[in-house]
Amino acid sequence: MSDVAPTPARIRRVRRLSGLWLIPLVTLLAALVMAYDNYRSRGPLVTLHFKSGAGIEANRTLIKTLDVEVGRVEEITLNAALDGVIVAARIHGDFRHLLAEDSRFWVVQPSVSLAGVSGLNTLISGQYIEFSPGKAGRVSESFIGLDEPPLTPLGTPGLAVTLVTDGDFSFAHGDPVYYQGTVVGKIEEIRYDFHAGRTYYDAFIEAPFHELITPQTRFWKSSGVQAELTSAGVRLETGTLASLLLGGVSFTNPPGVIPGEAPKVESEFYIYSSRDAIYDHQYRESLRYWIMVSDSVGGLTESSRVMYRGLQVGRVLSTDNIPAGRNLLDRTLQLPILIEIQPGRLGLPDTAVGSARAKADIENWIRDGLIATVGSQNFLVGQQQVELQYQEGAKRQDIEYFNALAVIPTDLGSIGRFTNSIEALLVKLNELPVENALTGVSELTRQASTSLARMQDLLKSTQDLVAGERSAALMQQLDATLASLQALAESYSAESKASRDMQRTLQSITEVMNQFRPLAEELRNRPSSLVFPSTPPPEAQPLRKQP
Amino acid sequence: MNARFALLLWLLCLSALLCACASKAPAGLSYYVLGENTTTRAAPVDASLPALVLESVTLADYLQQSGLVLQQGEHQLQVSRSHLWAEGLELAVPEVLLGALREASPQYRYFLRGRDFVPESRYGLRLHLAAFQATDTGEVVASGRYQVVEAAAGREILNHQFNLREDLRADGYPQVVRQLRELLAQLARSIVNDLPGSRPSSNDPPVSAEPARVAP
Repeated sequence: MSDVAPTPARIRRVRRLSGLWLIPLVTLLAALVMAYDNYRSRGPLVTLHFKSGAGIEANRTLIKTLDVEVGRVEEITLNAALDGVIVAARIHGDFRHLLAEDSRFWVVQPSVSLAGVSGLNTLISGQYIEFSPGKAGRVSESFIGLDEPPLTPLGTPGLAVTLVTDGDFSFAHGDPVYYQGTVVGKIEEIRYDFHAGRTYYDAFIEAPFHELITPQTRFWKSSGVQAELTSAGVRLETGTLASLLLGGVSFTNPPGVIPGEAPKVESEFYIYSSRDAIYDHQYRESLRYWIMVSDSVGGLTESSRVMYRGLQVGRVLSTDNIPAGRNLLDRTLQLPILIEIQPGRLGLPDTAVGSARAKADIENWIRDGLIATVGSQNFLVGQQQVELQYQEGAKRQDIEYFNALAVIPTDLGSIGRFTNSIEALLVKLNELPVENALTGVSELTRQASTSLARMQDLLKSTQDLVAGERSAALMQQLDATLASLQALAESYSAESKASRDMQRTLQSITEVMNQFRPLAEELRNRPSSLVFPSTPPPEAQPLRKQP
Repeated sequence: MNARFALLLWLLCLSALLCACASKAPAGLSYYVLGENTTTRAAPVDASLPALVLESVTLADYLQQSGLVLQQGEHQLQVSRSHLWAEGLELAVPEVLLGALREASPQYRYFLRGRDFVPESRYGLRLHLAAFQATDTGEVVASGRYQVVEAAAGREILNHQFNLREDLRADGYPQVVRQLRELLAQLARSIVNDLPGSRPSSNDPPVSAEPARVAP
C-alpha cells in the first residue's frame, strides 16, 4: 500500500448567483406588476353621506346603475356629529367618468304606499345603493345621499315648473300631475315662503306633455269629489280612483291657446282651488298703503274694493288697526285702514318690475294730490268702498308714513261735499210741480172709483154665471179632468224610468251589503278566516213533522 | 346552497301551503224560483172590469237577501248558504201574488204599480210580509198584513193581519218553496173574498185571516 500524499482540496469561492434565484425574482416582479395593474384599474373610493345606515353592510352592499353592479360598499362609519353615516364605496374603474358632481345616490328598499309598491325585489336580493350618473363636467368623490329615490331620473326629457298656492290646500312629495286624467308628472320638491304665506311646489312634467305648458296654462287642485246640484239634477264629478285617494294637480290650457309656446325659465303657476276657478285672475304683486279715516269705517270690510276712475285697482286688507298707545275714546284719532293696490290691475306687468314702477308712480301721485275717500258701494246694504282720486289744484306735498308704509291722504272735505249734494237735491225737490201733480192724483182717484163700480157689476154677473146649471156641469167636468190629471202625474212620477232604476239600484246595493255582512262579521271575529276558512257547521234542513 | 335560494324555496313552499289551505271545493248551490215556470194562457181581459192595483209589497229586513230562511225556535233564524232564491223575494212575491189574484177572482183587472201602466183604479193593495219561511217544527209560515184602499175616495176598506201556516208534506227546501207559493195563493183568495161585493171563484178553504187590531 503506497502512501499517497493527499492533495489538498482547492477551494474556489463561487461568486456567481444561482439561476434558481430567478424564480422568486420573476414572481416578485409579476406580483408587483399585478399589484400595480390592480391599483391602476381599481376605481375611486367615493364618500356617501346618508342619514341612516339601515340596510347598508360593509363589503356586501352593492352600488348599482340600471341593475348593473358598478361598485361595492367598503366601509360604513358614523359621522362626527353622530347624526348620519359615512359610507365609503369603491366604484369600478370603468365607471369613474360617471362620477359627476350632480350624480345621485339613494338606498333602494321595499316601500308600499298609496302611490304604489316599489323595491320588492330587494326583499330577496338585499338592499343596494342606486347610483344615477351625473351630467355635470366636474368629477366629485363626495356625495350627499338622497333619503328617497328621485321621482324623475336625471336627464328625463320634460319640463320643470314651479307651482304656487296661498296655502289653502297642500300636496305631498310625489303627488301626481294630471292632464285630462293621465299622470304626466309629479311634485318633486316643496318649499315654503313663510313671509308671503305661500307654498311652492317644484313639479316635473314629462315629455311629450311638457309641450302643453304655455305661459297661459292653468293648474288646479284635482282631488276629491265634486258635486253640484242644478236644475238639471245632481252632477257628480270624480277623477280616477288614484286621484281620489292621492289628490294631485291638473292642468289645462284656456281655449284658443296653441301649444308649443314655451314658458319663460323659472315661470311660476298659481294652483287654483278648482277647475271652475281657473279663469279668476290672480295677482301676485301688491303694494300696501294706509289711509286715515276720521269718521266711521262701518261698511268697509276686508276685501272691500279700492277703486280708481270706476275700476277696481285693489282691495281693503284690514280696518281694525288702532295704533298702539291710542284708543277709540280719543276724538282726534284717525282710524288707519290698510289697503293694497295690485299693479296688475293698473295695466302694468304683474312682476317685480311692474310693482316697482307702480310704487314710484303712486308715490308721485300722492305728492301731486292723490287722495282717498270712503264712498258707498251699495246703498241697500251699506257696503262702502275706497275711492282714489285727484284733488284739483292741490299743492305738492310730502308723503307721510305710518308703520313703515306710505299714507294716502284722505279728503277732509268729503263730508262737506256730501252736504252740498244734499242741499242741491233739496232745492230740486222744492222746485218740483207738486201742486199740479196733486190735481192729477185726485182726477185719477175719481176715475179709479168709477172703474171699481164697474168691476163690482162684472163680478156680480160672473157670480150669476157660476151659479147657473151649465157652469155646475162644467165645474164637475173640470174636477174630473183635474183628478185624472193628478192620477196621471202620480203614475208618471212613480213609474218614471229614473225612479225605477234608482229603486232597482238601491235594492241591489242593499242585497250586496246584506251578503257581505256575514263575511264582515266573520272577519271581525276571526281575521285569519280569509286565509284559513273554518268548516261551517252543517245546515239544518226543513223536515216535516214526525207523526 | 346559496342562502337566498334557500329563502326563496322556503317562500315558495309556504305560499303553496297557504294556497292548499285556502282553496276548498265550493259547496253545491241550489237556486229556487217562487213562481211557476209554466207559461199561463193569455186570457182576454175585459177592459170594463174595475182595476185592482198592487201598490207595494214590503218585506221584513231579513227576507231581503238571497238565502232561504229556516226558523229555529221562536227567535232564531238560519239563513241558508246553499239554498238560494234565484230572484229576490221583493221582485218574485208581487209577480206570484198577482198571478194568484188573477186565478182567485176574474172580477178585476190586476196591475202592478211601477211595472204596468196603471189606469184609473178602484182598489189599491199594499202588502207587508213579516214572515215567509219554513220552521223547524215542520211548518211553512206566511204572515204579515195587507191593506186595501178605495182609490177614488182614498178610504181604507180593509186592513187585515194574516198568519197562514201549513204542515210540511215532505222534507227539504223544494217542498218549502212549493208550499210557500201555495200560501200566497191562499192569501190571494182571502184578499179577493174580503173585498166588498166579491163572488168567490171556487170553494176556498177557510183562511185564518183576522181583522187587524186598530191602534188607539
